[in-house]
Amino acid sequence: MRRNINKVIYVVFQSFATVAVALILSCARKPVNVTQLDALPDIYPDYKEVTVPVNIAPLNFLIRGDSCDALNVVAECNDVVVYADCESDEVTFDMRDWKRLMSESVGCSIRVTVSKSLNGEWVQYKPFHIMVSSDSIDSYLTYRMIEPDYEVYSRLRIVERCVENFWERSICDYESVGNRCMNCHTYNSHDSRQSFLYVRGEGGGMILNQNGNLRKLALKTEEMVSGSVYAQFSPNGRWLVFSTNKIIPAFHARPSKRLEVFDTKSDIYIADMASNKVVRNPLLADSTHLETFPTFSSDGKIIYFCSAERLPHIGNIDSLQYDLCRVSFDERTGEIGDTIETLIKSKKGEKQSVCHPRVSPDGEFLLYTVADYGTFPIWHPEADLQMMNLRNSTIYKLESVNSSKSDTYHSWSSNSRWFVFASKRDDGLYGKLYFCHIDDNGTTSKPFVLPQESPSFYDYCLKSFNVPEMGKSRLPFTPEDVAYAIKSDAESF
Amino acid sequence: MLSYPYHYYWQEQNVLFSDVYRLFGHFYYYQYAGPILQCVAFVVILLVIGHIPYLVLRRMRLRRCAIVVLILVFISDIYYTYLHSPFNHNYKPYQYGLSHRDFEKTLSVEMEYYFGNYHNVLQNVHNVGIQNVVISFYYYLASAHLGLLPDNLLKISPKELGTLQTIGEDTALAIINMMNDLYYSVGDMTYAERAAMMSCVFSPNNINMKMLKRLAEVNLVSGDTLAAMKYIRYLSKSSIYREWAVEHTPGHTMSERVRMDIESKRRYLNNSDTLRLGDNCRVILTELLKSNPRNEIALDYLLCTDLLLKDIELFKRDYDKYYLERGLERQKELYQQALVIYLAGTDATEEQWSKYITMPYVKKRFAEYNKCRGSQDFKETYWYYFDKE
Repeated sequence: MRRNINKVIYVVFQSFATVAVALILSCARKPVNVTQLDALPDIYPDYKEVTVPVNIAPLNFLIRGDSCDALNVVAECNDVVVYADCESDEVTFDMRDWKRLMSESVGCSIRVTVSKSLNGEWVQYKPFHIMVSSDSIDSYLTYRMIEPDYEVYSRLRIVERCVENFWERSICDYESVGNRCMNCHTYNSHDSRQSFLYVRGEGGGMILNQNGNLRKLALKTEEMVSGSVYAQFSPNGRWLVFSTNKIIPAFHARPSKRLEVFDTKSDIYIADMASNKVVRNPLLADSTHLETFPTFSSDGKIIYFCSAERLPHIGNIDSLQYDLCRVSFDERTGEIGDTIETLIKSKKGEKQSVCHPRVSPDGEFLLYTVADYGTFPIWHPEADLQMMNLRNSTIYKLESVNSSKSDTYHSWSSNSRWFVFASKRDDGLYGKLYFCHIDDNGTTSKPFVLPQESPSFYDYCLKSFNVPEMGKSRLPFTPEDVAYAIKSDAESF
Repeated sequence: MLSYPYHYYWQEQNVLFSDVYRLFGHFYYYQYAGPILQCVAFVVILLVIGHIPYLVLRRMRLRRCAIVVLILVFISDIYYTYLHSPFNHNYKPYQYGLSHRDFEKTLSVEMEYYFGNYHNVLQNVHNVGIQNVVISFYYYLASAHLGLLPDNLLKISPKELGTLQTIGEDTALAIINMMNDLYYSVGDMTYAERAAMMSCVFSPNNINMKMLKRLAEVNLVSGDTLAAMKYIRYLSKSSIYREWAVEHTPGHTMSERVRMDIESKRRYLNNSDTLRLGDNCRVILTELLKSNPRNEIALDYLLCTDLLLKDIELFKRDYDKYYLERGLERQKELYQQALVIYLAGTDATEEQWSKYITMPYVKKRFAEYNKCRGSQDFKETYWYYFDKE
């Protein structure tokens, strides 16, 4: 009896060993008698001919199309040759190999050659290239992960991710503060020592991080239509410009348009974080207009914002078009100027309604979203990014950046050479974060999606990435700190 | 009566990730386990744990201990994966307000609808002998697909059409899970998508495979191939849904049956471009009828909702606008009975009576009913419902 058991165990081990050897051999197979194809490989995410920063994590990808017997992927630049690990249709790079390849490829392009074996016959696709820019990108990125309809949510998280590798953690999540809405983590000048985020619902408020000390702020006065919604720090960190919005969600009857979110009231206020005072100016809180999406210029001397005339009723929502405006600001006293200048006037029937203006840290460019109408471009397939040169008012349409789906929710890197934005280009439903390089002349490159350790990550992900912000270093607080701050009494204004 | 364990199929629609997925790279589904089976498994684990010190005390060989430990790990994994799983935690009969036995009966109705066996749905509802909102909802929906909604409206209780339900944070999961079927049937793809997404949001781990299928179907009908492929690709990774995914992939692998089904659904799509602030069924149904007057499911749901609300004037307006003016030839006794109430209450002329009442015996029966209003002999009529329920 015992001999028989031993035999069975022996046979099982033998089988495992055989399978393991076969797997190892199949992985190590090199292409022989290769037929060259005059086509680029169908890979996902699309990393073909993109420009990436030197410090980016490995660009792991999938090979789409019919399954193959074996796969061979080689990435090379100068004398450095790296063989990717290929399993099934997944291509991954060893972190150490990737970093070596990137450091040797600064200012050059990496040539990636994909070969695959179909029914024992090897074919090789035309190689594609990945340009490596010497402009590095901020190491950390924060974003929110939420269901794409934004209306009802579960297991919400605000995530901090290191873009140089695959490390990530929650900075606020449902486990620590409960299943409630949280949003808009925003740095002051990409500095992790000062930032804020919102935790909504009962007992919630703005959580202000100052060197890891968290304060809960009730940034709301009686005259405001809501608490603060869209907000930005002034460069010196003393002032916060924010909008208060009465937001209405609605559904389009036509399935291709889906969700619409719009404001019926909105105003802009300025908060003095040093004295906990809110400043209201009728120029930014005009009852006949909707003012929203405020942001400071990089020197703190101008406030950019969007403004539209209030609609009498929601039936003609496509008339709700926002102009891009600006007003001067004195960072020393907190006073705003007397006149509002309109930089872009919206035009009925043209894709010219402006959302989310963001000034580059070097003060050269203003990046914003244009859509047909409204304040929720994430559900507008026509929503595109545009950029204005603030020196000469030249407008860049960014055709190489935009897609046929929504491209919006953008922010700059601290060196003004990269911007990140949420795009629905893959499926029209789930937003993903794309990075785009921009040179001195304002020329942009083809954007690439945030790399993930598992190449099939995005296929399985049923959450949208949104409100991305880049930071220079790791944030000094944890979800538990946020949960603790939530329990404290809010500072009033 | 119940030929197979319906919960097995029902669970399949609610497939979740499990340890098996992590080991083999496939989806798998949790077995539904009632409290007795969970207790038995727990006792077995305790016995095995108790066996280890016994072996040690008996100075058995280390190898045997190792084998027992391995068995323990294996059983624990099975226990966690199948019995103590999020599935069993989140899907319990009490969510439907039912016992285990009635739960199975309820699922028999829901699953037969899922398979498209509409006649079986009607038969099962009459056989199971229990009443709840889920059973009624699928009974009416199956009836509507067969063109029998007005005929069956008064045959069961509770009279839950689903049209007056709204989805929000406080809505029961059972209701959320079924609403997408109604919207998909009447042809409103915006709300079918929203309801399916909501169902996913409220499911364990925010994933519900039945809803992913529905999301793929909705986007195929809407013509949003990119969005449909998101879900089809997801489903194609599952050993259970791979075949379905291949059959629904746009292109040469899509079957002719699926293609025709999608085409027929597209005829009912909403052509208007309006904004809706809530899931008001009246707005949804009337817009669908304006886009396609031949949408009989939407029409029956609109008229039957009016009747359940006992709003006879509204019913008459909708009947005129969406039934008579469109020249529909279908005659339903329920609608005739409701029209009789309207005509009698408005002192209608003979001309109006002859215009609306095309079934002469309805008028005669109404006269009989008026002699003994509320009599049980007229329990199946709308007049009785109007007066008594």
